Amino acid sequence: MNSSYKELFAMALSDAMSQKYDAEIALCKSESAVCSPAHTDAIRKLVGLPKKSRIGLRFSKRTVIAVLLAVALLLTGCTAFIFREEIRGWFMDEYPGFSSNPEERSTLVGSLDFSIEKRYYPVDEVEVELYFGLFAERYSWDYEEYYIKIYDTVNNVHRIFTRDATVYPEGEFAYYKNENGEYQYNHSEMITIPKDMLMDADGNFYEYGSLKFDVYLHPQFDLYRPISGVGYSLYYRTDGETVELSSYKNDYAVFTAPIYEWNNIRPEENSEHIESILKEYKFKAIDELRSDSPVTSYDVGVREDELKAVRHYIAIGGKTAFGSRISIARFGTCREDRGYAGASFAFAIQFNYKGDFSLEWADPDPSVGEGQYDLNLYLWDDGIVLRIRIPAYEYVLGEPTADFEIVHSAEILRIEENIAVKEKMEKMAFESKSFERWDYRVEHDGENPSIIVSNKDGEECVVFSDASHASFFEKIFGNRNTACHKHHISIP
Amino acid sequence: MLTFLLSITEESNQSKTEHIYKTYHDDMIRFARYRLRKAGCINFELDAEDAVQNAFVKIIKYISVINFDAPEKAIKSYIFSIVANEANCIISERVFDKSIDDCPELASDEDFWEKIDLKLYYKEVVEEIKRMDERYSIPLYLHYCREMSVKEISALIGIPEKSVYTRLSRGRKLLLKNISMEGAPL
Repeated sequence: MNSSYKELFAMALSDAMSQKYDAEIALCKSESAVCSPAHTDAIRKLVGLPKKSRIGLRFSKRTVIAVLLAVALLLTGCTAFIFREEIRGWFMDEYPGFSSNPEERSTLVGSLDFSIEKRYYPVDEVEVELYFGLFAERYSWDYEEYYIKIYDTVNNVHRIFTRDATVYPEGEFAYYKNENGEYQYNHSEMITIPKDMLMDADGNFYEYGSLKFDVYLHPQFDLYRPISGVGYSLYYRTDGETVELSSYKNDYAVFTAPIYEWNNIRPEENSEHIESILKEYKFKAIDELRSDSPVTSYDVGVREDELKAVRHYIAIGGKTAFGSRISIARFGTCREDRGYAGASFAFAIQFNYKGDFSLEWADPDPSVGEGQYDLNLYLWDDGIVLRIRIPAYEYVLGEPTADFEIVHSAEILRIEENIAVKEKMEKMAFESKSFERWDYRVEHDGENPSIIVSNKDGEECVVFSDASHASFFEKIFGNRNTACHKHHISIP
Repeated sequence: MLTFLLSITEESNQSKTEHIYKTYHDDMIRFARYRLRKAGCINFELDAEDAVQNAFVKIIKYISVINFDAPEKAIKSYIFSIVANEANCIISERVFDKSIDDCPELASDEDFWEKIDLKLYYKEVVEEIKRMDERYSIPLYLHYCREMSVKEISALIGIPEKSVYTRLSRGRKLLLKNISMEGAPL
């Protein structure tokens, strides 16, 4: 065997195989050399790597698309939130908004209502569901807080509940467009009347009271603003363990005085009317008036022109059935200088003193003190005079109302014994008898009228002969041009 | 695939494997597909991948045979002969039903070397080898160019050693016969 032949043959073999394969490779050089996914998976399986299937690849693409869509939606949502005020108009025919202009905001009106079940509640679980709505042609919420003010108009206590208003515009404080084309916002919430509102400083429960609810809004750059028309009263009576609520004041005889049109009443021209009023008075006491009652003075400044707004004399007299509490209510809350035609205001006084009384009140005397009115209460059976000093309030209420509201309980400024009155009363033969029925008449003796009172037995006594006191009665019941008027006042 | 190949390669030969893969893999795939498609295999793509994968496994197994200092065409011939063999195996399993025993004549080494005149008929020999059935040319190539033993060839191309002997003998006989038929001296 020749080795050179072997080498030569090997060379021939190598050349032949090389040329052969090169020729074939050249024929398929342009073809793709990418392996199939199945082959890739098989190799990955051999190596021990997780399968990377075609299905998984598609799912991955879908996942990527879903993520991209989610990101796009998120960005869109964020953008819409940032520019929500600008694009609000895209979705509404009219851009609603309460203007932040304080002048325009004065048109903000609302309504308030309650939902109560007339029944007895435990004193510490008196809950009232309160609804209030706001109406406006436009809406732009810039109110940070709203207040619900509850005050007991009889017992002169109040409590303010502050609420965060910023959380409500898009939520519970939902709005809609009502039939009048206004944007109406409704809200309701449960208000628990604090137990201590029903109690005096000594921890004794008031027997009754009248709670008034008002709602105020507090904008970002203004003082609080009461919502016009939002206010509601309810009445309660408690025995210390339970509380009975009612929407009707007549239920409890707290203020059974009917609602009178006090405007333009001239007592001397309406004596019969006033008499009818007095007949309807019913009073109910919750505590005893004591001579050591605290004396507190109000000092509220009122301008001179406001004092001139007072036009009318109101005086009442009568007999209380029980107690001694004194409250003052305000009628017809209007003022001339506020531009209301025929405006006037008046006071009604509730006396709960046990016994008969009379009251006089006249135009305020500026000399008494600016912005204050003195009101004299004569308690006949004790022969004392209660001088009640009433502040002249600055009345800032929106609409005149025929209804009355109690502004506060009067503070007794001074209790002084009027010896003269007492002596005169002592002269009355019927002093120790009954005041259940009494008559009086007014007689004029020259310039000074006299009040002659007679009891049911026909005994008579001149009660007042001096001008100051007699004129008071005359203003109420008498007529200067009549020699004698006889009135019958019966207080149940 | 390279990861897989490296995982089955000894650490000392990994760079060689990586070199072969990067240099020849794509051509190996194309070559195998071409062969199988030409042979009428329906799933020629998947079969080609199998063929290449099997070829790599065998290349790695006998990587010591490759002299990386040798000319590229030598390495290439070796690699593609293995791929061709793997492709042929698939083709023979699925397409061919032709027995290699059709040619009973055998030629011994002595007869072959005495009768072949490579100096005179080198080109003819090369051309004849190119035309020769690879069932004979590949064993001849592995045996005479790569100096692989019959046992190694048997393991590499997946046939019994006896068959390797038979193919080598018949290959030599066919080569001498075909050259003689074309006028070459026997």
